[in-house]
Amino acid sequence: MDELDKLRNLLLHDEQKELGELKEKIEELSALAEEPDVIIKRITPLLASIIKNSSQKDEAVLLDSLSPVVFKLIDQNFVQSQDKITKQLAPLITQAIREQIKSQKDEVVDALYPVLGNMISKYVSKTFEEMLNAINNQITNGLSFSVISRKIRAKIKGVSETELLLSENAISSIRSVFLIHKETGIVLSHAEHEDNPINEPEMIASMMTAIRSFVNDWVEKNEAHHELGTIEYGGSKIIIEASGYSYLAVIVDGSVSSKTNEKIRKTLEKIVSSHWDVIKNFNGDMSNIPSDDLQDKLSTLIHKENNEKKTKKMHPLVFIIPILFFSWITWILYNNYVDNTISENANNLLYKSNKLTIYRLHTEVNNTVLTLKGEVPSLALKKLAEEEITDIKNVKEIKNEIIVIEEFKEKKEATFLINKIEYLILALNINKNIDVSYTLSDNQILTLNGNVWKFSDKEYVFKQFKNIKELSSIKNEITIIPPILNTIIYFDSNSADIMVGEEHKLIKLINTLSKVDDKLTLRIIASSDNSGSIETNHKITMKRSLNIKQYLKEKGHVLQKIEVEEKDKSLENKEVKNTIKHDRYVIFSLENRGK
Amino acid sequence: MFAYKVVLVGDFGTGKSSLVRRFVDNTFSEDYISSIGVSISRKQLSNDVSDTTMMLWDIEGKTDFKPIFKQYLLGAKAFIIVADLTREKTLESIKEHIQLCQESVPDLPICIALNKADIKSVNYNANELKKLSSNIIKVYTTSAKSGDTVNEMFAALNNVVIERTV
Repeated sequence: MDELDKLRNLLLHDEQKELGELKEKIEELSALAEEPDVIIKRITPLLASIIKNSSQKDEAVLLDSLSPVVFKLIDQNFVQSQDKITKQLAPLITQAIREQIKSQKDEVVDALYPVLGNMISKYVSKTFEEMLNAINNQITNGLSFSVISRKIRAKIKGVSETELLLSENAISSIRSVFLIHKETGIVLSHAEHEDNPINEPEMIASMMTAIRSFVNDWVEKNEAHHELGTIEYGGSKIIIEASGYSYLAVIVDGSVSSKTNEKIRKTLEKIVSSHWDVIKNFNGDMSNIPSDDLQDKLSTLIHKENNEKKTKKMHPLVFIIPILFFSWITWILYNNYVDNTISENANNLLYKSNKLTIYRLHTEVNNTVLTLKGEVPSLALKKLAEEEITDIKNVKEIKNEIIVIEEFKEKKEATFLINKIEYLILALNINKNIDVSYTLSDNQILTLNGNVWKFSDKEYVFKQFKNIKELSSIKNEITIIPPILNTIIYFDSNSADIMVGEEHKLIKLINTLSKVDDKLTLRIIASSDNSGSIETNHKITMKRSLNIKQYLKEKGHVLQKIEVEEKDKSLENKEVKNTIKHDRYVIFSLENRGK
Repeated sequence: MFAYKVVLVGDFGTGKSSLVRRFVDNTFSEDYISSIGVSISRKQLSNDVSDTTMMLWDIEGKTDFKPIFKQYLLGAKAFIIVADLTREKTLESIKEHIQLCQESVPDLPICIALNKADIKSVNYNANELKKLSSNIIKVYTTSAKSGDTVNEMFAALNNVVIERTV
């Protein structure tokens, strides 16, 4: 070691030592500076203070420098964790909306109005469109029984047809029907519309049963016994119709008419009445359930309902052909009627005509064309026949096909007279009170026989034959015989009153009496039953006869003398007895006492 | 073909819903979701006698504040009473549940499921539990988590129900 070094060691010993230590420290530090873990460890506790410090000192600078990074970070985060953010935000949004509605209701309404308004109007217009289509359909199919029946119903009910149309077109359809065992909630049967199949009907049935039990139990606790009737959701309804051991749950789309309710009730009634015991004793064994029948019954409910909605398009010919057929039949019947009437009138007129009566003339009418047929002795009579019938109404044309036979006149002169007499006799005998016959001698002497009721009838008959010029003389040998009166008036036991049912017989009697001679005497013969004493019976029979007498005199103004007597039973006519119902009666006879 | 209703009864949190889920879907979840009201599941079964649709009514568990809703028990063909092997109180409730079931529908087959057998259990005496009612078919220790004896229990119950009905 040289001197200089020694001196340096002496003088700078401390400094050199410090320098050495310093050098070591720097090396140590520089080594540390390359270790990131150490740096992070050192700086981390200070970071918060650094940010705080710098924000306090110059906030703007810090924001400027940090914000681009932060925004970038948010963007990146949003893209990567969209699902997570949605989940986190969802509850907040609902809360925010609720809060906003609470505080700023009007603003929310205004903001949503354009969207909701459009949505609602779109829905409403679509529904209306469907309804209009349905109505149009009904109107286009104007020639159907349903339309005619609707028109009649509208008239009867006094409502407009449009109103009925609207109610018919209220869109509703049964989507599915479940028959559910009440306690277990097991589906006994179910039917659904092909377009709306239901998944897991068993689950729906069980859930419905649970809901039903819950509601019914809750309601029973609070109020009187009631059942859950309907569950509504959206535009659909579940109608619950319960019986003792089962219930029907019917899913209906659209409005439910009382008709639909009625049908549901009827279906359940049918099911319960025919399978009540099976349902009651259901133990889980589905083989005991008459599934086919139940299925049929439920299906009819669905198809019935849906069939009603479909207006069947029927070809107009289906209606027109029967209508034409009926019109044709009616026309034929009417024509026949008209033809018959014309023919009848014409024949009447021909018979009534004095000159034509004796000829066998007749008419044929076909489609109001009248044809005269028969034989007459002269052209004048043929023309007369035609003239007689010209005034008949509705006749289109008259064809006169009457044949004129010249020799008729001479040959049938005698027949002509007989015909005339025969005709008169026939006409006179129509009267009940006249029953006459005749004989005609070769020298044209007419003898009248037979009988009439009264003298004036005899005169009348004679007068009729006097008009026939061909007769040389007339012998009137007609006898006057008053009619036998068959009238029997019955009385009630122990009563002298004329029964209502007997009165018509008395009126008939009065009518007959008006046609016989006033000079005759009417005998009223009364009979009584043997139930009372002779005295009582006598009294009551007399009273009955007097009542009848009074009735005939006062109400019938009968001019004949009336005598009253009691029946002598020993003289009873057996034949009369047979026609008599019982002993309480009065009979009548006419006698000519003046003779 | 048979169709009937089985109701699971028990205190809350005993694993009724888990047993149903294991039986019906063969799944299990550790999350506890308290049942509200009733949850209904369907399982198709078959044995030598018949095919069966079993409707499982998993009803809300009994708590101190809320009794079991009796209406849900009506119309059942069998009951499963579920208890939690980790909570002694749920085992004590079994007697009460049996009584409730028998009041609702008398003389029905009852299975007792002592659930959560996969976790360390409290002490119990299966024989004594069996003696609680003559309607008890068997006392099962089940685990909805591992699936132990779950299917076995439901199958046995189904056999008994079918046997009694036929």
